[in-house]
Amino acid sequence: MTKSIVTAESRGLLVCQVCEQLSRGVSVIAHYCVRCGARLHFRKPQSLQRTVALLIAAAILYVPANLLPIMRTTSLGYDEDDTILSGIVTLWSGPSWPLAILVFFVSILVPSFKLISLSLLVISTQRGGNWRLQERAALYRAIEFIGRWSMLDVFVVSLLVSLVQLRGVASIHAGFGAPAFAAVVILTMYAAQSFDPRLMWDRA
Amino acid sequence: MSEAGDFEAADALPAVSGRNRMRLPLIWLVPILAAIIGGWIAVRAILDHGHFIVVTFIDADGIEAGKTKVRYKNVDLGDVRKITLAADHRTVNVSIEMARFADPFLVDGTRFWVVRPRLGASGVSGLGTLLSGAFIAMDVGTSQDYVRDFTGLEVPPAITGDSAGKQFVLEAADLGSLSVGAPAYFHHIQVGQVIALALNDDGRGVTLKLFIQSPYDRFVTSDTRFWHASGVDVAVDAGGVHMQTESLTTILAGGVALEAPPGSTAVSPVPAESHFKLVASRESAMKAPDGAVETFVLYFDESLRGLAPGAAVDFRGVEIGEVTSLKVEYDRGTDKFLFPVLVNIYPERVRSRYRKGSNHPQASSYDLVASMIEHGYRAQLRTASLLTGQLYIALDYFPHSAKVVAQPTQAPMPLPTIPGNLAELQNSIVSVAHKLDQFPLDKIGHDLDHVLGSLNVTLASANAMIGKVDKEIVPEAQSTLAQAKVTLAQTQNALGPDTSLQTDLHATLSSVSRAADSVRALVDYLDKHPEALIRGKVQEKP
Repeated sequence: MTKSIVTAESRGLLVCQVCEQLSRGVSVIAHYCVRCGARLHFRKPQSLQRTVALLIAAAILYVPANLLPIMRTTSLGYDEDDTILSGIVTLWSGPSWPLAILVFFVSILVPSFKLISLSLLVISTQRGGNWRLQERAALYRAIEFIGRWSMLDVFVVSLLVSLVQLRGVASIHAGFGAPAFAAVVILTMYAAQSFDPRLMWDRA
Repeated sequence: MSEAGDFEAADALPAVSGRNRMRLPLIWLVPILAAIIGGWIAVRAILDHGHFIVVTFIDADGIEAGKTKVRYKNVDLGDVRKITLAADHRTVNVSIEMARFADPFLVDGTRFWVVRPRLGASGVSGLGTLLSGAFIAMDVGTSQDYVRDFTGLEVPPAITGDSAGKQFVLEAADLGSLSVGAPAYFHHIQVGQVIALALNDDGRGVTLKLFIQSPYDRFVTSDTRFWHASGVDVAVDAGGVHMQTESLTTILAGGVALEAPPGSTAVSPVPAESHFKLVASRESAMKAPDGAVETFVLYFDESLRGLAPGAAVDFRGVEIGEVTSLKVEYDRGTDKFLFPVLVNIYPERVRSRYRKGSNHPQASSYDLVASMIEHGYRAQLRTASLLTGQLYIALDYFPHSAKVVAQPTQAPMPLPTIPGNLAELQNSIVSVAHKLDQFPLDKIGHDLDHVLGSLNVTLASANAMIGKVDKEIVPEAQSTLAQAKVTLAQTQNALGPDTSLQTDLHATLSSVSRAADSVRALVDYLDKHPEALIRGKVQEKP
């Protein structure tokens, strides 16, 4: 730890994330803001542990999210199941290849990128050291930024399910993959949130 | 913490107290829950995984790997996973992943076929697959042997294992317009259909399998007759034109009709796979069974044009047989051509009281015919239709025909013939013509010429005489008539109402009347006083 860097924690100071009240922490146990009552932490509690737990849950659900159909299209008595990947293939072979690229990006690349990057951040932070600290910080910012985009697929499915209900002719139902995929996206967002990037610097 | 004092404002800030908190790693519940869900999904996927089966088809038309479903009673039972060509490149192997609960259906005898839109004479099927794509349908077999390899049917089976009913075997001489799926009608109700047909091994005739649905199958008795109900049956008889058809479908696609003949007493249903005959028409189906056949030969002296094999042999209007063949024979001995006509007579159609009513040893019907011939039983060619010139053979008694010795021992037994109506007519016309030919028309003509000449002379003299009459008699007659006219006028004058003759006559008549009155008064008086005749009239006292 480079002693030259002054942190709020090193000065025993806590800032309230809600009302911006700066307080002085006296112990390492839980603090509450005197003004608004919000919990105050020097660092996000159990940050790494939570992140790891959420990442594991997301990784487990990532498998069914990609293997199970996210929607089932019924047209004139003929069912067709679509997984995320088969949907992309369908879009790609059709005229809407830009859409295929978009869906591939937000539904395949982004979740896996988040899973891998967060794992990388957690591992590197756990081990400590100052390996590419700047890049890791940039990576974290990127993860936070792209996190919400992954919900696109879920939104599309929920829209289609509610809109395409032409009884007898065509209807679309959400498959098991859709909630699994939504869970992956939500879990990775929470994982990213519960990761405290300050730990990287603390342990550098 | 050691540097806390270095921050100049720190002392001015309020101190917050901390509280000890249970640090349960509750967050670990999330991955545990995820693991449980994922595990459950995985287990279910593995459990749902059924067996892979391979169905062989001639081609994979309409089948798509990953999309085509296998359905039984419209329940999805499996998915086509892979389509490969068979090793011999003649068929395709369709690998299907079946649902686990479909395992009991994968037995020997289970049939698979591709349901596609089909347009047949008997209707349209599989329309739903037009938009949704083909699917593979199955029919579950009854066997207990589990198998994994099946051969797909190219056409949907006419009946599936779950339809109740009975199969019957029909033997027909000709298939007609029947096809698999052709309907069967019982009193015009569709009761089943043809499910299979095959040419007999010997190439003579066809064998059909007919499926009759329950509950109609119980109407099939040993007496039931089957006939082709194909097309339209038009019959022209004395009552007019009759058109008979079973349904529109049969006109197009053919069909089988079945019915027991009227008066049938058989009621117990026959077992499945019973054999029946399929005949050409309702008429022939309803005919009494022919039983024994007896063959006769007929020699006609007249032309046989219009007589064909199959022509009727009838006895006073009842068909009792048919012509089987016509031949030409040359008799060297007599140097003559003979035209033998072979006919089949069905004695069953001629109910014999004599034979049924006694225990007399059954006399051969040839002997019976021999005795009939003794009584003038003869065959005659008659015209069935003046329009087409068709002939039939009529059998009847002709008591005045020339005696013929019957030959019951000869085979086939000859049946004597007499010339037909037409031949007789022809003969008489010929004889008339012949006589006409003999007529001395020339001589008659010559005589007639002569007669006409003298007639001419006579007429000329008559003419002269008439001229004379005209000149001499007519003027005299004219003057006579004029005199007569004058006389008549005078008479008229004499007899007119105001003439003197008339007036005088009137006066005379009045006097006569008065005289008559006086006479009557005298007579009356005399009647009362007869003595007056002697004494004279007595003066009446006042």
